[in-house]
Amino acid sequence: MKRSGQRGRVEGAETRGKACIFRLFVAGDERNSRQARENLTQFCEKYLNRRYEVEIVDVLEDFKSALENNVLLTPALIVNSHLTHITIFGTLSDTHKVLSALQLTRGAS
Amino acid sequence: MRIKKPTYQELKERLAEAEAALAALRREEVDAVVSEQHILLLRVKEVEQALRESEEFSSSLLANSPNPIVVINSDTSIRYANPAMEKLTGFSKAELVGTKAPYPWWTEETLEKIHKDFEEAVLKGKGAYKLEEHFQTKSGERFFVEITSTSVKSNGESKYYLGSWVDITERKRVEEALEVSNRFLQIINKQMGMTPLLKEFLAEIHSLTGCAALGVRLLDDAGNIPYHAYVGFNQEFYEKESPLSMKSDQCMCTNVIKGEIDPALPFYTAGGSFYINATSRFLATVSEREKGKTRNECNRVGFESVALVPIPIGDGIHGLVHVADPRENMVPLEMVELLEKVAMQLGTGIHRVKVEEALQKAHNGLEIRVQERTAELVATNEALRHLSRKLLSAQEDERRRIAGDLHDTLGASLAGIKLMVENSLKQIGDPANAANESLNTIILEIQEALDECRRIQTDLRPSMLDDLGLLPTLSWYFRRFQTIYSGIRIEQEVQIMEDDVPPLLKIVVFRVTQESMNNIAKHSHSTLVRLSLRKLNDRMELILQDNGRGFNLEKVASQETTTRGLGLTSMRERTELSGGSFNIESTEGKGTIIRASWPLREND
Repeated sequence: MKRSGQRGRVEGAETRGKACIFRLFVAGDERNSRQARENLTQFCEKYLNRRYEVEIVDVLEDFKSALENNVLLTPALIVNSHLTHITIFGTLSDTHKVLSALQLTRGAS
Repeated sequence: MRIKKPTYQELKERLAEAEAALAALRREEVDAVVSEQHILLLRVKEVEQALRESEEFSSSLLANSPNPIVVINSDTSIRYANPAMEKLTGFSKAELVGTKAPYPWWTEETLEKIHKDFEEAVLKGKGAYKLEEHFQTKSGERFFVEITSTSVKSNGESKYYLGSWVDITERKRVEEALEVSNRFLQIINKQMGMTPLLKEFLAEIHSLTGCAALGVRLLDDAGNIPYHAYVGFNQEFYEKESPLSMKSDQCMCTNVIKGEIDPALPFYTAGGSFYINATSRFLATVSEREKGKTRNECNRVGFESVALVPIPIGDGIHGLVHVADPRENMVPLEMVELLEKVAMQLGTGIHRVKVEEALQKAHNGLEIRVQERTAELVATNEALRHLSRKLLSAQEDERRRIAGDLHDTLGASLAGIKLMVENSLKQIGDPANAANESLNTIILEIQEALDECRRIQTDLRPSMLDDLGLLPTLSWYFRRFQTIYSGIRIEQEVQIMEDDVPPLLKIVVFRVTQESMNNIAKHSHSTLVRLSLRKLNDRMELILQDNGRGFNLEKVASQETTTRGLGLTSMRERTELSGGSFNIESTEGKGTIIRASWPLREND
């Protein structure tokens, strides 16, 4: 089961124009998963200015999606943009790493 | 199916991914591992946190427990000791942790028992159980604990031993004090005199304190405080110390009995006792001038431990218990306080014995006085009886003398006058002479006077009693009685020989019979009198029974002393004074029986 990100950011009409699409795999409300969700939200608001789409997948409810995407650990963030396709593991506390993945390092600094 | 080989770039990306995953794991930022079979949640931090909190909680519980707790490893080394344990034993955690058995709080004298208990509890891994032990602190003070021991097992093997202690020293002291108090109460309550009481008391004090020398001083009326009982003091010490006087001597003994103590000084207790556990070391700190104030004899003869415990009786101190020993530290404060309690009991016991002795003395004095008074009364009674006997004897003698005088003088004169008148009558010779009638009348008058004289003479003392004996006299008396009182029939039954009648009893039997017959004639209205005089075994028995109207004995007896009465007292006196017994039975309307009997041997 796919679940949209918080704050209703998944809006089909705008999706095509987004800078990047995130799929965050979490394990329920476990501590690290919760932390990753919060960090991703803050990151998106700070750097992407609504030009993003977040899909959150709870592996406790839908583990098959995780396996299909080769996600064996949570939290894991799959970043899809026109520039890259990368999986980041952990709580996403390292903002620099996410920016690097999006190749937005310069803008962040 | 053909599997597509990954490209180098793909392999590189996967490796990077795997490294990133590994790094996340190292950073502990992973919650779950996903596989087809299951999702494994990783909660290392939470578990660690919970564990840490749990440990903190357990540690806090142990550390804040008011009871001493020790955790011992299976190799007997101490793993943990809580602050309460440190406080009670005096050993720090650093000194205890790692120490193996025997532990520093074990005592020499109970080592064997503790070892055995310890083996049961720890080495054999027995389940939880309780036991009481006697341990010592780092400074050597004894204490009692109740230990609840628990074996903590892991995989069936004892891993730790947890000992939780409860300090029961105070409870034990109270129990010991109660037990001691009971033992002394039993002694005090025994019914015994002063010496055995004090001896038993000292034996119990010896068993309680273990001290070598003991004594009890008691204050006497002269102000001296001699030992009334002692053990362990040598003769020289006893002879020198026993004559101490409250008036002329000054030493700790007199201070304690006078109550002249200062509880602020370290060798006095609040209960008024003196105690010291190292006399030599103490005196070394005292100036010669100060030493001079007391005699210090105990120290001179080598006693290092000394306790002088007052014996209170009522409001005052009447003596002391002296406890001494050549060893140091034999009379600690708690022992002295215990001795104060038992000395109080001794005071009660001494008071009881003194009261009993005083009572016994008073009783003995009374007994002696009673005996003296009884002896006086017996002597007086004997004197009275002797006097009565003398009186009766004198009376009889007097009667005999008067009877004799009547016979010899008046009787003889009357007989002579009668003879002379009869001669005169013969000389006249003439029957028609007018003087004859007159002379015959005179002769008759003289004869009547002679008869009266004889009758008085016989009443006073029948001479035939002395001349012929009792039995003929009684026969004569009854014959004469019947000539006067012909309406009263007399039946006689005499079963005794004249020779069997003791001479001294003859007049008694006659007088009792005479008095009884007089009563019968005057008051009884009888028609029949039965007399029985017989020898019965070793006694002579006289019974006089009439069929008259009888009388009220109590009423007559009460009149006997004030009026002339029936002469019952006189009959009883005569019988009893002559060694016999007298009994009278009478019922109004049913006649009277008089019984008198005498033992024959004594009067033989």
